[in-house]
Amino acid sequence: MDSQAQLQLDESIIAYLVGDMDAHALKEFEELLSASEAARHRFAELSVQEVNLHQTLSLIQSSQLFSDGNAATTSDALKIVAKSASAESRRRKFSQRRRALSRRADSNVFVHPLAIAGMAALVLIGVFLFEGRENGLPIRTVVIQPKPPQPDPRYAIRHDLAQHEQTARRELEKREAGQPLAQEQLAQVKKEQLPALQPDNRTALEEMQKREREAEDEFAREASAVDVTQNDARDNNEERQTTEPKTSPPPEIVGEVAFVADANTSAAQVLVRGDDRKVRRMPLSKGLTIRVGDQIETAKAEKAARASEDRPLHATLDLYGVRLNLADETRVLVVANDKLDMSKGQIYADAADFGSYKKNLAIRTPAARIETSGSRFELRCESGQTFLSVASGNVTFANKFGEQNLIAQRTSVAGIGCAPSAPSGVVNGTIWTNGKPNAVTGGAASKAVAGGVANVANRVLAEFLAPAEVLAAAACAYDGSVLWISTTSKPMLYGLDPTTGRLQRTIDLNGIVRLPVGLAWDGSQLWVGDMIARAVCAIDIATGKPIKTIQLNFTPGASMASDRSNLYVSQSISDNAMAFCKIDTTDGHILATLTTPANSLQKLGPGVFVWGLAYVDGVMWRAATNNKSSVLMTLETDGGVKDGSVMDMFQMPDDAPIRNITTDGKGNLWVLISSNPRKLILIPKPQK
Amino acid sequence: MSDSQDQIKIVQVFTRYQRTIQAYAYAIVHDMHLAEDVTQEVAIVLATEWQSVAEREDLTSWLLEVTRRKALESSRRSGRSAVTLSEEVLEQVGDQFSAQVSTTGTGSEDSAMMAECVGRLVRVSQRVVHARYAESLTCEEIAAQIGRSVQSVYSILKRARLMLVQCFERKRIELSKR
Repeated sequence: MDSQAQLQLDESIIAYLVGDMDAHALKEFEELLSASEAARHRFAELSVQEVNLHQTLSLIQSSQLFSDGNAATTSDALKIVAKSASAESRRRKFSQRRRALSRRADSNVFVHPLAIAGMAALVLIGVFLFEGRENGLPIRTVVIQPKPPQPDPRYAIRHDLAQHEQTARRELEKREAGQPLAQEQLAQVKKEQLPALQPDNRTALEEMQKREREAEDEFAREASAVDVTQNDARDNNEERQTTEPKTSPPPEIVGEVAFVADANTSAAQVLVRGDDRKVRRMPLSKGLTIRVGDQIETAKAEKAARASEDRPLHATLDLYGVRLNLADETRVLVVANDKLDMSKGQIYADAADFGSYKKNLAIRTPAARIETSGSRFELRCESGQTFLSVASGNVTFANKFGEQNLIAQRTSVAGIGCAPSAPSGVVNGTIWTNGKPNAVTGGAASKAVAGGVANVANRVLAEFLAPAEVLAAAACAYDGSVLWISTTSKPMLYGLDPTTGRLQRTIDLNGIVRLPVGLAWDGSQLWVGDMIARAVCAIDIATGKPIKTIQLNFTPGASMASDRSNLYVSQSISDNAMAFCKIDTTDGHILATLTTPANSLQKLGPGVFVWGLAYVDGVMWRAATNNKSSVLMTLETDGGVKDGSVMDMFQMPDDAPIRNITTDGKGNLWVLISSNPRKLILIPKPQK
Repeated sequence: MSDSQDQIKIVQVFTRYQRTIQAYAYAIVHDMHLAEDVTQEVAIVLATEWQSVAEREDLTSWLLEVTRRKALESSRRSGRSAVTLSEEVLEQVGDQFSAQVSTTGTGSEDSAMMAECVGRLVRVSQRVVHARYAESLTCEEIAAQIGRSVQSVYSILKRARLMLVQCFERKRIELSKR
């Protein structure tokens, strides 16, 4: 097994062990395990390693190295454990040798007394249960409550504080009978309520605030040297004033800057801080803490970037439970951890949704207010209007003229003096366009293809989620009027309306195809790959009847395409995931086996899967993903598909693992996104 | 053989197989707490059935079969059967776990190497790995704690786990050269 295949195998095993494998991938993984003894051996090896890892880290946990002050950081603790475990290992070896000598001397079996005691107890429990059953006695069931999850201390503190803030707010609202609250009053009440916090939380909070203050002061000293705006003179004066002793505690820290798009323009993207009657402006930088009262402004996009329609993300803020992506020319004021004022620009908010716990978020714009918990949405303020598009969850969109409740895939607009419009379906992919620009986290793939590679964001022609009936969609094909979807959940084809995404019709493949995977439209019939039968079958979409079946000598994967006379079928992971075959549909002969060289994808980092084939205007497209970043690739041509080698690569936005692609016959690509539920977008074929 | 001798023998057998049993159970139930419960159930079965199985030549296979049945039962109870390999494949895989028994030692060396490898991960990966393996949190719980999406937690976890596998391999090779 070569190193690439080994890596892919390890990736699959790990995905299975951590529980991140869908039904389709599981099926392929099962096939791989059934076929290869080496794969099974590796599977067993990594499973044992998993237990080893658990035991090692539990040892660290139980030794309480994190809390007793012996180790300053996790790394220190791990080093100590590694050292002590090595010493333990040496001691054990010595002990084993001594025992071996002792065994030779008297042939007695040595078992550690503690081990005997522990196991004897276990045996006695077993015998008790066994005898109890034998004697007809009731068997006692001992229910051991699992240890409740330990929340992040920072989170617990903030949660605790948030509770107190709410109480304080309610109290003040009672006192002031509806009068607007002054921040100072609120801060005072919160300060008064600090003693009510858990002692541990209070100490931890004080320590954390102290550390963060120190870190921020250090940053401020560095930042003061940077020439940021024309307000330098004023700022410098104000900086000098900061040396005066502070009379009130600094505002609460509510988050940090997680990402800044471009170091060169970061000086133009500023954070304005107005604590202690002073205003300071500082360039945004990764790791900079954000406090209540801070205002974040992003710069105007570069002309060059606008010309290429490449609109990079300017900054990402991590507000402890809310991820906030800011586009260019955006201004946001942090009112509290879960309250923002937005005066202009565009944001994409992702509020944590953790089942029973959903992060609350309220945003006020000039035209409306947004209230939600645990949802994802995009907000745009433009010309006195506020546009809201919801990606997931529920969002209340209101102003004093009216209120709308938006669910996923709905959009609405509110103007100053106008109630929010009735929700309508998301059109032209507004969520995609503005909310998820490229290189959010600068992952491996982004780096690999940065420079000279076009960005496909900002040009989505259609976007919708797969209907609820379509579970585990694996492939798609477009016949000119209907977008056909196959799933691994049942032998069925689903035909969707390409403009609304609504289910138009279905074709039952029971008795025709056992496990449908890839799909391809050849201009007159729909080809369906059958993973179990190792065949491809042509279906008449008018009648739903099979026209022809071609038996293959390999297991077809989920990717198929047609150039109208030949069929291109990818091989499954168990054969060779990088290869696909050109098949003459008239006689079923394999004309060529084409392989995308593994080394052309090495730049994408480990764990890359190749999904999708689409033949567009004489060029074959493929997609690759490492489940975080995805790329679209064109393959070399010489009048047809040459040999499978990669010609160009185009970065897709992050967090959009591609599951499959197909053509719409007009030079655009339908992309099936591996989200839950699956999403389909239509984009023009990317160009340099 | 007296009762006390039996007990010592059971302890010896079980200690030898414990890690493999737990690993096999984990591969089925995907949850370390459940895998530990299954391991205990297997220990009880071994103790109760000892008289009839003590002399079996295929004790390893028998233990792994008991593990598989108990784990599948547990998996079904917990509603995780959808993401578990089919019974036929698990049976095939079981043979390889048998082979692991002889290579699975007490684990102190492995633990030392693993701890060193975890120490080399970047901070966020360490945090996720620790939350997953030491605190046995689900990816959803970890995502809520660190304020990231569930999918990104899965990505971090898989990347970290892959790096641990590679680091562990290197260390093993280094150790064998010494």
